[in-house]
Parts: sequence; structure tokens; C-alpha cells
Amino acid sequence: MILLLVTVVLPLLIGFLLVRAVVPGLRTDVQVCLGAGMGIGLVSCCLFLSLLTDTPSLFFESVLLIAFALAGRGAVARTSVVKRQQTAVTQPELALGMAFAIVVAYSIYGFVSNVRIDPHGYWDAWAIFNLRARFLATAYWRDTFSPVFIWSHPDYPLLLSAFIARVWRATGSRELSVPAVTAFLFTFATIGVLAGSLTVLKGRTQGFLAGMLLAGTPLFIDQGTAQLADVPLSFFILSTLALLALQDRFWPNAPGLALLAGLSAGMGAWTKNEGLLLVAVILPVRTLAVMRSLGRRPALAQAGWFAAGLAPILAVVLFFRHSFATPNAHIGGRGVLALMAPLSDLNRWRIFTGELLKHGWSFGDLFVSSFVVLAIYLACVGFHWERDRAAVHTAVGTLSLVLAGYCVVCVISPFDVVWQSATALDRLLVQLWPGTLFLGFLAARTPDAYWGERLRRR
Amino acid sequence: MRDRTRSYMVRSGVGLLLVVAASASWVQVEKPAPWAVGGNEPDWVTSNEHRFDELKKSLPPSGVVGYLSDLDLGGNDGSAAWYTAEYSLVPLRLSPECDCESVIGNFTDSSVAPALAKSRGLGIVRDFGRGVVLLRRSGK
Repeated sequence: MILLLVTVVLPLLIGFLLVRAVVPGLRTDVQVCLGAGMGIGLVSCCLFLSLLTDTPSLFFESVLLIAFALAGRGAVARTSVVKRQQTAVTQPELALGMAFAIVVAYSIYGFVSNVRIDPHGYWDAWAIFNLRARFLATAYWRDTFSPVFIWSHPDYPLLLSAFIARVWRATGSRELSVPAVTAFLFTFATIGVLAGSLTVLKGRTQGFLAGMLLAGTPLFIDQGTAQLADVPLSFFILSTLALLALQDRFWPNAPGLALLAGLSAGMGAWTKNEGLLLVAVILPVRTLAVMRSLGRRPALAQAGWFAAGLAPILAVVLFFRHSFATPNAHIGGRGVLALMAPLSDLNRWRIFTGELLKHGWSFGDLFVSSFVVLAIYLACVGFHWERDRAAVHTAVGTLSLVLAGYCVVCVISPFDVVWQSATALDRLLVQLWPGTLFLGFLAARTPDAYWGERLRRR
Repeated sequence: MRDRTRSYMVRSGVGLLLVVAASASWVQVEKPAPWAVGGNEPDWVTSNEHRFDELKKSLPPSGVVGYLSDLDLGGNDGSAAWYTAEYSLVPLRLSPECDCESVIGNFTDSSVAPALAKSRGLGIVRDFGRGVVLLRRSGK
């Protein structure tokens, strides 16, 4: 049990030290939440490298740990800590904070209940990700890419499976709790990154409200407990957008945040194939957004740092795809003409659009769609995004283009479009949901601007 | 007047989020209490894994072994049976198509095994119960 704890805590520490080294001025809770996902991603890369080179994973992890710890010491010593101006907590903020805590507590209750019912996760979790983890945890790890497993998507990237295998290798057993704990960390770290980054950017009220809406999306919690890769991908999409927004506001000329955002986008591609869409889209979108707001030189500098953060993880992903992955079931092994033909099939588009609207309309598993709730909220409070223009443009462009990419892949997929939509759309929307909430609340006028006025008048 | 309208709208927006959050919490509360779930009854994946516990001892540590079932692999039940068998027997690879000497029989009922095995040129080595059978290719 202690060994299990240590092997899970070590990646979290690596991630935390990385974030602290790069953004020493950020709130500790945001550093911890960001670090959780980053650490898991880095350790999964370490395991992959260790398998390839027959070197203990602990060696690579120790190198990262020491490097980040030393870099962090230097960074903290020479960087003046930049924090949002601390103000006294108002009554509405206190009430919302309590409401947020209650919703998170109930979500944890629901999460644990789901895990007790399905300890192996949903079908795809044990048949794909945990199955692969079981192989990676053995000396016969290459067998998981055998053509026998074509049904198990050997093209799926390894972030989740490799991390789980890393812990199993260290403990020498296959505890069911490991995939569940990993799922828990990603689910609640996503809520933490959303609430924490918005608190820094827009104040406590926005942070609590956004976190409350995410924790209050039962579908998001259920997908988290499913032990699939969609919530982890949503974490990396959100983290990438949040880091870039923090950069715009507080450290526009510092390279660290763009570097970390690039790393986060790369981790997205190491989590799921959909993450490659994020990688393809975000760099040009971001460069254009910064070019419009700050000019050409800062935009190119940021793009360079972003690419530098992205490069090592992308190299791992590309090596994996080149050396191990089989062709993708949706687009792989088909000629350009075969891919283009369904695009002009209006009937497929009509059916898919109908399904997309249907899933969007019922999204969240509540009495009303969570997208509709967000839209009504935004209509009520209005917008105020002048200070975050580049970040808002980046998020709008990225999320729209990634969604458009999902639509195209679903339509050109060789599978029946209704079946494809029924099995994939909710999960695809979950991937984008935390990022959408971040965008919505970043662009929204904060209610406490109004409450503050009222309180001052009182 | 405009300020008051804005006030109502902002309060309505925040109120809506609180209602949604409360209803989401209710969805979670309605789930069975974690400590009351399961008891001595394992979930179906674990239960299926246990079916193969004894068989594992008679199999090589790795490599490819054959797979035979009375269920259609293309159907939901057949593929679920195959997936759980594979998941349970990692790092072995189960192949329905291979011409392997050792073949795992995963049946809904062991009584159908002899006839099905014979039709594929296989002989029963051992019946582990609960539909799990170890088969060997005759003549090898």
C-alpha cells in the first residue's frame, strides 16, 4: 500500500515541481492540479522510453525530479512572485465557495460509487486501455501491438496505459485501484485547473461558478469514472488554453507558460488521437491571435516557445505512431478519394448534424443541457473580455476548429454514422466541455463586478 | 432602472447555476452508497476473470493460443466473452484463427464443448468448469 502510494505520489511531485519551476508565481492549488496531469503524462513517457531502452523508468523519473527541483529553486529565487491581488473574501464569494465545495463533495461520492459498481471501468476502458496496461506491465509488452489486437485499437496513444503500467510494474501487482485513482486525479484536477485558473484571471466568483458547473455535470463525472481517455484529454485541452490565457494576462513576455502550454498540447496527443487535432490547430490559431493583439515579434517568439514545449512529446507520439501503432480505424489505410467521398454525402452530414444537435441538447445528463445552461448564464451576465482578447480568440478558434475536425472525422468514418454518433458524440463533447466552460467564464462579465458595486454602496 | 434589470439578470444567471448544481448533486446522491455496493458479489468482469484462474496454470506464460467459443464473435455476447477472456489471460494472445496446439474453450455451457471441439479437430484436455475448457489439436 505504501509502495503504491509512493509510486502515485512521485509523478504528482514531478509535475508540481515542473509547473513551479516554470510558473513560480502561480497559486499553489493551480500548480498542484496542473502538475498532476503533467506529472502523469511525463511519467508515462518515461515508462515508454524505459521499455524502448531497457532502462529502469525510475532513472528517467529521477532525472526529471532533480532537474525540475533545481530549476524550481532557481526560478523561485530570481522571479518576483506575481499573484492576483489578494482581497478579502466577500459574503457572496464565501457562499459560492461553500456551494462549490458541496458540489465537489457530492461528485466525489458519485465517483466512488461508480467505481465500486464498475471497478474495471467501462467496456472500452478495460478492453483497450487497461488491457494494454496489463501488457505494458509485463516483459511481453510488444505483444499488445500484435495484429491479433486490431479490435483493441493498437493505434491509441499510451499516456493512460503506460502510466498505469508504470505503477503496476513498481508495485509488482495489478491493483484495480490504480486506473481508478488515475481517473480520479484527472477528473478532479480538471475541475481544479478550471476553478483555479479562472479565480486567478477573473476572481473567485467566476472560479467557483465555473468549477461548480463542471463538477455539476454528471456526464463529466461519469466519463471520469469510466476510466477512458476522454477526461484526461479534456484536462490537457483546458490546461493548454488556461496556460496561454495566464501568459497573456500576467507574463506576456515570459517563455515558460508558452513552453508549458506546448507540453500540455503534446500530452493531449499522447493521450488520444483527437489530441493530434489540438496540436494541428492551436499553434496557427494562437500565433494569429497574438499577432493581432501584440504584434508579429511576440507572436513568433511565443510560437517558438510553444513549439519547444510541444516538440519532445510530439517526438514520442510520432515515434510511437511510426513504430508501433496500426492504422487508425476511421481514416487510416484509405486513399484520399475514399476519404473525400463521404464528405460530399449530404445525407451523412444531415444525419450527423441531427445527432450532434440531439447530443448537444441532452448533454450533461441533467434536466437541461449543460450547454444551454452556460448559454443562458452568459446571456444573463453579459460579456467583458477586453483584457483577455488574445486568449478568448485562441480558445474560440481552437475549440471551433477541433469540433469541426471531430465532425469531419465522424462523417468520413467508414462506420454507420448513427452508430458512430451514438457511441462517440457524448465523449467528444466531454473532451471539449471544460475548455468551453473556461472560454465562457473567461469572456463573461463577472457577477461580483455588480455585487461589488452594491456592497460598496451599502 | 437599467441597473436593476441587470441586477435581476445577473442574479437569475447565478441562481440558475445553483439550481443546476443542486440537481447534479441530487443525481450523485441517488447513486448507491459506495460502502453498500457489491458486498461479496464481484462485478461481472472480475467474476469472469475468476473463471480462468485455474486454466492459467495449465497455459504457457506468453505467446499465442487458440480460442473457441459457442458464441458468435461478431455479436455482443460473443465479443464480450472474448474480450474478458483476453483481459484475464494477458500476456497470452488469444486468436480464433490460429492453428495453435493449445486452444482455450470459452463456452456458455461446457456440455456443448465436446461436439464443437470434435468438429474443429480438437480434443478436450481438461474441463475447468463454468464453461472453461482446455483443448488440444488432435494429431499434434
